[in-house]
Amino acid sequence: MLQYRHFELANGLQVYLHEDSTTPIAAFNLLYNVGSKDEDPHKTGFAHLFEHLMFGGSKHIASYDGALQKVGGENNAFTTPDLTNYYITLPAANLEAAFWLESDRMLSLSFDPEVLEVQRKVVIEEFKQRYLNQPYGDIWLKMRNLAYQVHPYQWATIGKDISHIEKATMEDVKSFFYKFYTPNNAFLVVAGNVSLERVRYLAEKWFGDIPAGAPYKRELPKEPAQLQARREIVKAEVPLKAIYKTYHMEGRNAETYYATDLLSDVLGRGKASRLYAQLVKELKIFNDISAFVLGSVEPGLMVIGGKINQETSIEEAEEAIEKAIAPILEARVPQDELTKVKNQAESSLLMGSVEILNRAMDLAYFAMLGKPEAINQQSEMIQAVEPQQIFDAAQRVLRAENCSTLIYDNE
Amino acid sequence: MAALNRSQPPEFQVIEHLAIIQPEVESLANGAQLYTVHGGVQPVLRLELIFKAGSWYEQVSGSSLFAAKMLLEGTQHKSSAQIHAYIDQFGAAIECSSGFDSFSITVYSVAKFLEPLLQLLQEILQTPVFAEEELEHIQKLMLQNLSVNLQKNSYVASQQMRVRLFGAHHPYGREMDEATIQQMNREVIDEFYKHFVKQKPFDIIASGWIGDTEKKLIHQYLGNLPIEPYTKSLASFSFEPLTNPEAYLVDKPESLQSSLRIATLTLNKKHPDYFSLVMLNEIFGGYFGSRLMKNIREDKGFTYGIYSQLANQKNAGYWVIGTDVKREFTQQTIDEIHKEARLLRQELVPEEELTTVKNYFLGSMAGMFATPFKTADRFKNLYLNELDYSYYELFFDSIHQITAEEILRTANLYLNTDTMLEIVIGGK
Repeated sequence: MLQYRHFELANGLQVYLHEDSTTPIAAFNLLYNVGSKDEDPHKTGFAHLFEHLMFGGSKHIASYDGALQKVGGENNAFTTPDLTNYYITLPAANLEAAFWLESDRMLSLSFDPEVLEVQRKVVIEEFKQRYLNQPYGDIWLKMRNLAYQVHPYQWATIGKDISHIEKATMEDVKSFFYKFYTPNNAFLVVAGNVSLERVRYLAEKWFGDIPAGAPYKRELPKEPAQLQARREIVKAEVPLKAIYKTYHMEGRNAETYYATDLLSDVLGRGKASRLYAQLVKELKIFNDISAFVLGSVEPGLMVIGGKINQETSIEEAEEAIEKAIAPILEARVPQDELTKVKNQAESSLLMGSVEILNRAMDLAYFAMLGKPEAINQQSEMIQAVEPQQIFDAAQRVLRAENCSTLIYDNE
Repeated sequence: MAALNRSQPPEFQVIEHLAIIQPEVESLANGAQLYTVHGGVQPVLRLELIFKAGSWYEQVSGSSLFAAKMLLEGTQHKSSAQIHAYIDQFGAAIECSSGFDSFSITVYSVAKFLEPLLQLLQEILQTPVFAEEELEHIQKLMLQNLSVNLQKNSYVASQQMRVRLFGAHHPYGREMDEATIQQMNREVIDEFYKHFVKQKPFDIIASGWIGDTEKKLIHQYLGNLPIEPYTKSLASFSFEPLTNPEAYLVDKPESLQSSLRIATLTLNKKHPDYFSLVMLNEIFGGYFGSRLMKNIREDKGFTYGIYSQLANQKNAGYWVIGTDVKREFTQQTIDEIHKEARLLRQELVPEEELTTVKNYFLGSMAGMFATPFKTADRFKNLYLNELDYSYYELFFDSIHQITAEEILRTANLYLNTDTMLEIVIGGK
């Protein structure tokens, strides 16, 4: 059970405190409710480029990193299709420095043109390092584009194309900042050996006078139901052919989300899962295979796939996947198999909350979902899933017309 | 209320004291030492069995790694599939890993499932079969994975760096290449396992939710495993690294980036200059505010990241600067690395910079014992390198006391990038 307290500032900033007196370290996690899904289709990759610019100096502080290092703190940030998250860990005694630094960049960035020029280059090198200069590195760029036709999940956080990053202007930077980086679009979690009074005082002191922004009303195009199977073959000089199948599924807030999540675990989590046990160990058709869900806030994807053994054909591999999936569409999952995936999910939840920083991040995420209390209901909701619900999830998700297949062919 | 002065940083404290947490230690009936770090708020635990094995002790290259890879793939009573089904039903994980100097088996589990996992652990340790069919399958997967890895510039760069630093026959330099994988056979694996793991001395580091119940179970299941003396003398293992490593360049015109490594052999953790070297490395390329990061990423934008790192094994250490950099700026990046090294040899680090890096380092040390798992990792470092807790105390004090003059002295002694090994995969 994760204990937390909550209050809201007059400007709309949501503040959460998770007290833990056992650790000398405090975590400070600030989540902005903006991700790559909020981008203009002609200016993709911007939320992530912006995350880089957040380290390029704010109104009163030239060097964010330097100032934090000086008080013994460490920090980083990440951008996903749904959100942008900034986090700090530091000795609890120096917690105020985190308030000082984060509030100043929420107040205003320095908007230094030099910073934009350099970070543009850095992000382009990141694009190459992660997505272009690696075997199979562009999987996500291609897969999202195939599975989504209108929803902005169709591009990855790095962006559709390097040219979008090349063309970003300072005007874009400023309008993005004023639109999304407002107190009423943010969730702050403080975790550590600190009292509510202290957090309230510090939050008021440093964030209290930042004016609220115009509320952001998210109106994203809805992805229509997929009515026909899609297929793309990528010719690439890769050592092993590969196949990835994606299926549309419900979003993170849906009641049936956990059933679909467990369905993916039954199929492809770990070496005892159906797909791995049959296709890697028994039939030796795949080099590796797994199934998982993306866990997106809006209707997301279940992914099934892996690299194919050298002597196996794509047709043979694809047929083998279909055959391995089929039984779950025909019969209820046995109770002991369901217990297995529930135990795996339970272990992950517990292991994932050992570090105080992870607890702070999770709390911010559930707060953004609009139901912080759900952080403590995960275990219960997982345990409540019955074989019938897995069966229903399979019928709903694992349909041929709901599937997009991406193939890497090296011939 | 007075207007808030946002240009003024809040008051802060420099960490003056390091609260070291040590494990409890006790002996099992068979002589194995059990080190426990109890604590944490979640009912999860980690159990690590450590053997004196690993590449250092191999007669045939790869035998230790293969033994680790095959340990969960079949016993006299359970097939590979049965073992994995058994582990997964408890939502647990078991990892067998072969390092350069040690061989370990690690269990991650929810506390309530510890007993059945210990039962499996006993079985795995005492009756592994290393079946031919499983070996063939692992070989095939490894060969395929190798072919994928060989397309990654960063993989090739790191691998060639070790081969060239230590030599192709040194346990830290040996490559897991195609021939090594193909030539592996059951007899070799079995032989290695028999000499270094099966019924051989081991110790246990247990961390997390380890109360009396859990301890009792560990005594019960691991304390009765027979332990016999080594049949080979461990003292006979000794290797010398190369003295004149040669630069290596692979030109790949289609590469968008080059993977670069500049490396040299360096001090181990017992050397009196080691802590000064750690601080020098930190300033040079060890953290986000380092000179290399500021110059190559934050000033020039040639790369997503550049680092400098001290990698210490028990019997030798190396120092490596690494980056993936825009291909046409490879030579310029190399020149800048040499320039930054030269600056550190010629000029005192400014007071402001030294203060920042010290405070940063001390602050990160404050979290070294923040969870039972971290505390166990700190102990493991001492255990594997045969050090005691004065190491952390000395470390902490040296960081507090280090001066710009000491950094300069250390740079002149050790930071000679001009004579270091240079590896470029991509082109320059």
